[in-house]
Amino acid sequence: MKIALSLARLVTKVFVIQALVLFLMTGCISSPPGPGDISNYKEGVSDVDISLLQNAPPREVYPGSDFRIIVRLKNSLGYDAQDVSVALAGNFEKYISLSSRVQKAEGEEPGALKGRSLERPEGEEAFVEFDAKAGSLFLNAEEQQSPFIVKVSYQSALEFADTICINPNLYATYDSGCTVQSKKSYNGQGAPLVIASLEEITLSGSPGEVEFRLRLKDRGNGRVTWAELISAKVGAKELRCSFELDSGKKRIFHPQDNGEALLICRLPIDDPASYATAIALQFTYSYEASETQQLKIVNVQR
Amino acid sequence: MMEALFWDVQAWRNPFKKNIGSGASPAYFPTFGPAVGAVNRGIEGGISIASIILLVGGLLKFIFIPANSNFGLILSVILFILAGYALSEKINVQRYAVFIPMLAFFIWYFVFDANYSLVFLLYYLLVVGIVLAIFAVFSRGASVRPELLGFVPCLFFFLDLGMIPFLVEYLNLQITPLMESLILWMPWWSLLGLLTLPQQVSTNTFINGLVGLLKIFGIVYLIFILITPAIPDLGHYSQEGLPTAAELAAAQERVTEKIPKKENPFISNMYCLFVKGEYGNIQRCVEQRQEEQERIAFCEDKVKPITNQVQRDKAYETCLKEEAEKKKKEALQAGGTIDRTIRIPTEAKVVIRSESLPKIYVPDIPFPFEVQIANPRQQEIQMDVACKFKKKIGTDYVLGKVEKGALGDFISFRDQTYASQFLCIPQGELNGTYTLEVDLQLLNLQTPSRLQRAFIGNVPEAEKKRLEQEIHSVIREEEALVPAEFAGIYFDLGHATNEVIIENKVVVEDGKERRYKPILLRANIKNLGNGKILKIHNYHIDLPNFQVDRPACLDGTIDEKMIEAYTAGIPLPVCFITDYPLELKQPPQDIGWIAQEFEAQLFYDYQVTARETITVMPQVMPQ
Repeated sequence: MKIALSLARLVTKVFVIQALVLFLMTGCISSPPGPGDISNYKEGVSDVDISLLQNAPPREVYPGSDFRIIVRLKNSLGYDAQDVSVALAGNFEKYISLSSRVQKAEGEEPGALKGRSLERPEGEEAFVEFDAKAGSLFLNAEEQQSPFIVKVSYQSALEFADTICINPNLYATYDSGCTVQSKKSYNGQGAPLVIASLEEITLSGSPGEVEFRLRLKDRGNGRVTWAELISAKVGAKELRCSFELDSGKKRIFHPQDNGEALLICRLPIDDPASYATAIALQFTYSYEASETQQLKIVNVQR
Repeated sequence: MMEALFWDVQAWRNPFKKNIGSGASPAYFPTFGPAVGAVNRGIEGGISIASIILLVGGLLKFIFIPANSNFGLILSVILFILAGYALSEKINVQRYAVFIPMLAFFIWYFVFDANYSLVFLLYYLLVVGIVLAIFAVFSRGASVRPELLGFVPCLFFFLDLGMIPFLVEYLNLQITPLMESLILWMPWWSLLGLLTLPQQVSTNTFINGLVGLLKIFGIVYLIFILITPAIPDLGHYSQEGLPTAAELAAAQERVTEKIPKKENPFISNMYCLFVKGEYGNIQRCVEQRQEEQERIAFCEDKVKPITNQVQRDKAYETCLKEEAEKKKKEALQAGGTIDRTIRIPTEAKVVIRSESLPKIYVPDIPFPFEVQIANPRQQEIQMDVACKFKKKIGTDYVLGKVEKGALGDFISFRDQTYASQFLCIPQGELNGTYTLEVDLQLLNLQTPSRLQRAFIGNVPEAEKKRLEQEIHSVIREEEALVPAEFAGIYFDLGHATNEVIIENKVVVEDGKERRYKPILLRANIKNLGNGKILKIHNYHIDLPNFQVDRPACLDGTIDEKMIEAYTAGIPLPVCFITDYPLELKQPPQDIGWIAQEFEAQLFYDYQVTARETITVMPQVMPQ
């Protein structure tokens, strides 16, 4: 009897641990959401994925040969991307000639790629083709390495929303309303540009004011060319915001070297009691990502 | 020994008997942890044999077995398995815990061809994970560490096959001295064998001491190998699939071919320390020794096709002298580098075979010599040969006349290779020791060279830094590239020496636009061979639609007196760029920069001279 119980305990232990392992593994593995799956695509860090189609271009080409460079773009953002263009940079004068160096992506709408949504959980995909021709090698060189860069630029939007507490009473110990969280962190809003944190500071005075400090960070693989604040509201009230204090600057170019920018918003407080409300901000931004690719021109007689 | 391999077998044999009436016992359920007693017994029995086989076998494989061979691959697999034994002995655990991940890796890499598709990996890793978890559970977590360490032999397997050369090729990395060392001189399995040697290999103190010394030797070896700068930053990497074993080995062979064959840095260091005694200047001594060994290896390769031993030795000596001269000249030169993509440059040499030269003088006796020319670009070359016999002592000489058969004075050819024998007939009596000098003149030679630069517009500093990173990933050579021919133009264009980026930055002063940084064109003609530049017909640097303040810097000739006056290089006029094309000043915004490759052409005549010491006696007529 004792033996049977011990065995049963052991078997149960094993099954529970296995179940836990399986649960963790399946939980960690992301699977594409099914049609009925309601996922929030506007969270985390996402980007427009860039890759080259296999053998386009081939790893090695011969002088004078025609080939194609086909760039595959997939919009994994939680937002639509506009003005999506692909540019190729490299030593193209001498060794590779291109039909064109810059092309717009052609999705369902020209120059735009739809982002991830319920109707389109994977995001829109497009292929941009460049016709190319390999030039001649220098003198009787056996080969020439000709690396090039694929640069993708686009404009997109960023939406931030959260619930905050406005409490004008700096010194009130007891308040039946909400509790102010002085700093909140976020892991992204479905774009490479993210609102990483929100600080709320209640400024004393008459009337009182609340200052919101939002830290924008570039968490993608490329860089933000510019970011512009479109709208900022707390409840129904407009916020007074700027990227530099009191300058009224709503557009910032090239966030600092560390890819960060600080947006400061202020809201005058009328209500003496604390209350919970929504804060919502909308941005547009321009983004650029690039990848280096290798191409080798080899002598036919090698 | 068997008991040591698995759990306590006794416990499994009598699980039901063990605890009846005796209550719970820790030994009741078989454990998957180390069978300590067995392991302890094992030390005396030479369990470190696996490490020693790994150490010695790895070294033998590294020295004698070519990487790109089936036998090499089989040996790698055997050593891979032994590595599992050695590692399990080192960390004192049951072998299966280390072998499970190794087996999983082996199956994935060879059976499934390193399939990395997401769906496959999902299932495969799930299965492997469950298996590992089961063992981890039964061992109460004791097997987790050895399971993780089981991936170490997998890493060494990749490294031994040629992971670093593969990454060098596919990432297009510059082969740094550190990488050269790792590719050429690192016996990876031996390193693992060394690291897994136990503290006490045997009960014999002498053997333990020997092994300890071996460990110290190995660490010292590592230090000497790795005493060079770190690997530079990696660029973006895009590949279509994980490399197979064959691809890794092939990459190893290709990259090893490109690396100049030098001496093992450890041996060079030992030589400089203990043979030359260069304690104060060991780095310089090692560099010189490495250069010397590089020349030796290069010349050994070059003369290999010559079948005749005497000729081969002579060619070898000549090659060593020529390479030493080239190196000396390279040190004096700046602003250029040899274009290694041109493996077959235009070359010419005169070969005088001493065994064919007569020792007794009779009138009109011929002294044969051969001219060998490689003309891979099929240039239209005119050639002339002349010879003379210079007295060893003094300045007297006897002129020679070259018999060219039916050929005229100047021989023209366009062939890719030209080889012909000629006869030098002395025009006077020879009696004594002379130096036979043969001058080969090559006329109408043309040697192009090239230089790459990148042009940006008037951009902020932060943007310039960003573009710099992009540009340096595309333009790798900052100096002019010249084929290893007789002479060439080394030129530099830019704001500063070897600065790849030219920016269109202007400042406005007093209502006038002025360039923030001037752009300068500097050039010189360098003699890259062992002969003499006879004449420079023309030099031309092609900068399309560029304007300069002194046109002579782009185009001109050089006076013969000036050619004689300069030994290291002939400087060309320097000039400022006053204007250049708009498309280079304002590259498209989408791209940000434009690359441009410029060419320079040198048209010239060159002379190659060969010398051979001969002793000729007059014929003694019989009385």
